[in-house]
Amino acid sequence: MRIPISWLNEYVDVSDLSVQELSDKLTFSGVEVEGIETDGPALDDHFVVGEVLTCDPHPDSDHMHVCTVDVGNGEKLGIVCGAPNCRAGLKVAVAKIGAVIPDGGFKIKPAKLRGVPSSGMLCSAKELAISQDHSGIMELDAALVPGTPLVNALPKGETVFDLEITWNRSDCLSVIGIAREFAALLGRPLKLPAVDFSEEDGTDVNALAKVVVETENCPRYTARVLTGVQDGPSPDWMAKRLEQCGVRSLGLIVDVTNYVMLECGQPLHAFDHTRLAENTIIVRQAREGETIRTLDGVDRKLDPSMMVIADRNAPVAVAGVMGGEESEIENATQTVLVESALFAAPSIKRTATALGIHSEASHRFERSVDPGVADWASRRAVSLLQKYGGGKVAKGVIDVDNRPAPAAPIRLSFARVRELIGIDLAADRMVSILVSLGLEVVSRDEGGASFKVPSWRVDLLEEADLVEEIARMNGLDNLPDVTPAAIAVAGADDAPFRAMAACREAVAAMGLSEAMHYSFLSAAELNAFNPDASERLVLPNPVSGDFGVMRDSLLPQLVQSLGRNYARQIESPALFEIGRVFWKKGDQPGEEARLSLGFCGPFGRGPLDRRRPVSNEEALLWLKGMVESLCATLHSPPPRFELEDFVAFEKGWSVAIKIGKGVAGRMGLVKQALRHPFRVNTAMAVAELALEPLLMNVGSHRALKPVPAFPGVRRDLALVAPETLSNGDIVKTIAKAAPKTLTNVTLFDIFKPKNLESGKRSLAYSLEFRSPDWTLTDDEVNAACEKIMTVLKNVLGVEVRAS
Amino acid sequence: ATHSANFHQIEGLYVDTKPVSLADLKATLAYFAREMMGSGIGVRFRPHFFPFTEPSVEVDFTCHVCGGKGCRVCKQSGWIEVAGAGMVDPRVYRHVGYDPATTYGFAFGFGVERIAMIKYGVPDIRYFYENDLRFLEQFQ
Repeated sequence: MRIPISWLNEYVDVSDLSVQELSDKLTFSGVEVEGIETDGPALDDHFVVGEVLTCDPHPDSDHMHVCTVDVGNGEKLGIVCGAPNCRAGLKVAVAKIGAVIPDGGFKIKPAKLRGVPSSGMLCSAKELAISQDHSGIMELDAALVPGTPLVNALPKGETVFDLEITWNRSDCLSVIGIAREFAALLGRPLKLPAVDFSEEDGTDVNALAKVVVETENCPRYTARVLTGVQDGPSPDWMAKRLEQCGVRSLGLIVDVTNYVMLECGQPLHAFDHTRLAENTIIVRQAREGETIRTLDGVDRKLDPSMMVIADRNAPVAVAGVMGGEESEIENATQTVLVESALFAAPSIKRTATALGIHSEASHRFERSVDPGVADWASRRAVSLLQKYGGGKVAKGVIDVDNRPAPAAPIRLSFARVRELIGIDLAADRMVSILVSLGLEVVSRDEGGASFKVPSWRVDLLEEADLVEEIARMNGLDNLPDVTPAAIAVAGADDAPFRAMAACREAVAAMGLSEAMHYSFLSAAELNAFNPDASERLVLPNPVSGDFGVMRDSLLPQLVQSLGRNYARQIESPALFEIGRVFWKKGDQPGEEARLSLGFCGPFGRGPLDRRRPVSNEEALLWLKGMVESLCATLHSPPPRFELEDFVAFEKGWSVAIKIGKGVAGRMGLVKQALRHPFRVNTAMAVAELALEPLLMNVGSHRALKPVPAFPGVRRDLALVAPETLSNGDIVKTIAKAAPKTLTNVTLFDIFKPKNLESGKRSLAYSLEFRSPDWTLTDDEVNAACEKIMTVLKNVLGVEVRAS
Repeated sequence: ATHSANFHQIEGLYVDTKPVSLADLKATLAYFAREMMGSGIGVRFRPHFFPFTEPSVEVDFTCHVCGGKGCRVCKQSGWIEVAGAGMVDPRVYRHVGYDPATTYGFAFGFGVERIAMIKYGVPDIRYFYENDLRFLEQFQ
C-alpha cells in the first residue's frame, strides 16, 4: 500500500523525523516499508530551463506563436508554442529533441507545425506530470538561468512509502490507520479531519431513497443523498494524493469516494440516484441467471453465493467489490447516493475470487473493515462533496444497522506477558502501551487487567493478540540473552530417518550424486513413463501447466537430469534421488517414498578405459550390481530379477525387481526416443525402488551365523545351453537338485567357442559344498554333482561337463 | 529466482508445560545462526504476522558477507531475512486439544534452499533443481 508522507502528516505530526527514522519506526513495529520513492517526474537532461527571447504570432495560425528560446550554452531553439500565456521574457520548461514527455510518454522529434519548424516543446505542468494544470505553459522563477536542468529548478518530489501490510492488520489499510500507529509509537495526538456539512431544510433522505437489506452478509448499510452536485475535475491536492497512492483521478464524485476510502479504510460507492429504479436499494444475494456489466465494461454471470446491491429491477453493483456500469457516475450526474456499508469478509472474498476481481474495495472488505467507521466515512465524503461540488444534502441518514454486539473485554494476565516475551515488563508499561493503541481499561487488579478493544482492531480477539501488541510496541531488540535449553526426550523414534540416511550414504558411496526434483511436473512428461492417467493426482490450481500433476514415478525427472548433464558434456553422469511419489485411487490420495538411481556413459570404468563403447549388457549388469550391492549393505533380502517389459525401457532390457514379497521396483535401459532430446547416444540405465522393502531390515537384530568348522569342496561345471535359457533358471535347477551341503553356486564365465552352433553359449559354474558337522568325502560330492548334472540334462536339456 | 513453486522447509516446534518465551526462541535461533553461519552471526527479530503464531516475527541473520557493515548482498542493511517464527498461537493448541493456559511453545520455519543460498552464495534457487553435476559435486 502506498502512502505519501505529506498526507500522513495531516493526521499526526511527524515532520521532525527523517525519512529513514519514519521507515525504521514502522518496520520495527510490524508494518514493513518495502520501498521508499520520491515521486515527481523523471526529467533527464533533455529537459532544461529556457528563456523566451522572441515570441511572434504564427503566420498560419491565430493561436500559435513562433518563439526563439535560449536554452543555455549559446544554443537558441526555434519552437512553435500554442499556449495563450507564451510571451517574450518568460522563463519556461523546455523539452528538447529526444525528451520523453512524462504525461503520455511520447518522444519529442523535429516537427513542423503549420509549416513552421519546431525543435522542441514548451511544457505545461500537466505534460510534466506535476499537476493537472494544462491551461498554459509553466511560468518558472525569473531568476533561473537558461540551460539549468529542469529537475533542479522544480520543487523536489514528495516521499511516498510502499508498505507491506500483513493480513491481520486491516486497520493499517488507510492513512489514518498508519497515522494511529505513529501516534501510538511517538506518543503524539491523532488529528482527525472535520466532517461537517449542512443539511437542506425541508428535505428528508427517506423521501428520496429506500434501503432494504435481505441478506445476513451486510451487517450495516448507510446511505446519504445529495442533489445538485457538480461533477468535474477534483481539486489538485486531492487528485495528486490519489495518484500518489496509485489511484486514477476520474472526476470529483468518484474521487471523493476513493479519497475517503484511502483516508479511513472504509470503501464507499456513489450511485447515480436517478438510475436506481424506484429509488430503492436492495442488498441481497444474487439470483441464479442474473448478470451485470461492471464498471470495467466486463459482463459477469452472478450466482446466489454473490451479494449484490440491486434496485427494483436488477443488480446495480457487486456489493463491496465493484459497481455496475448502469448506475455509474457520469459527468452529468447531479443526484448522488453515497453508500457506506459493512459487508461480511468471507462473502466478499468468495465473490471476488469467483469473479476474478481484485479491487481496492474488495481488498479491504476481505480483511474486515472497521465496523465502527461507516457513518464517519459517509459524513466525511458528503462534507467533501458539498465543499467542492456544491450540492444540497438531504436531511438525515438511512442506517440499517444489524451489527452484532461488540465482543466482551479481553482479560490480560501480567504474568503471562512476562512469561511469553521473556522481559520483566512493569504492569504500568503494558497498560500504557495498550491504551496508546486505543484500548480502554475496563478493570484492573494485581494480576492483570481487562480491556475493551476499539472497533478498528478486528484482529485483537484474545490475550495472545494483546501480548503481541505489547511485544512489538515495546520493541523486539531488547530481549535478554538466555542459554538455549530444552528437555531431551528419550525414546523419540528416528529409526526411519537413520535408515534413509544409511541408504543415502550407501548410494553416494557408489559414486552417484544426490539429485532433487520438484514434486510435480506436467502430464506430458509423465506420459512416456505411464500413459495410464487414471490414478494421477492432478492439482486443481497449479502454478503453471508445467506443474499440473504430482509425480507418480521418480524416473521421468531422473532421465531428464541425466540427459541434461550428458548434453553439458559430462561424460558419465550418475545420479540418485530419494523422494516421494503420489497417486489418487478413487478419491483417496496416497504416496510412498522411493529411491531412483541411474547413469549413462562409461560410469564405473577406470580412467584408462573410458573410450571403448558401452554395451547394453555392460550398462544393465553394472546397474544390477549396484542394486545387489545396495541391498547387501542395507541387509535387505537379496533382490530377484525378472524380465518384464516397460513402456520407457528398450525391449529385452527391462527388468522387474523383487525384494521379499512382491515387486519392489524396476530397472532397465532407457529407450532411444527418450534419450534423443539430450543427444544421449550411449546406454542410459535407470532403476526405481520403493524404499520400504529396501529398508525393511536396516537396524534389525542379527544373530551370528556359526563360522564353518570343517573344510568345503569346490567343483566346476560347464554347460552348453541355448542363449534363451536364463542364468536364474539354471541356478534354480541346480539348487533344487543339490543336497543341503551345496552352499554356493556362482556363474564365473560365459563364452562362445568358435565351433559352437549359433543360438547356444557355454556357461561355467563354480559349486561349493560344505557340511557343518563333518568333512565331506569325494564320494559324497561326486554323487551330488552326478545328480545335479543328470537333472540339468533331463529337466533343462543342456549338455554338461564336470571338471 | 529466489523462490520456487516447491514448498520445502525445515520447521521446528518446541512445546512445554513450563513457560517458554520469545527470549528462548531467539536464543535457539541465535545458536543455530552461529553453528550454521559462523561465530560472528547474530539474530534480529521484526514483528510480522502468521496465522499460527502470536506474537509472530521475521528473523534476520547478520550478513555474513560484510559482517553487518552493509554491502550489496544485504542491500546495505547489514541483515539478511532468513526465517519466520513466533510463539505458538493458542488457537493451534486448542485445535489439538491442549489447554492454552498451561501450554507454552515456539515455532520457526526456514526455507531449506534459502539457507544454502545464503551460506554458499548460490545466486538462483533453480540451481538446486537443475541437478547439474558441476554444481552438485561441489558439495561432497
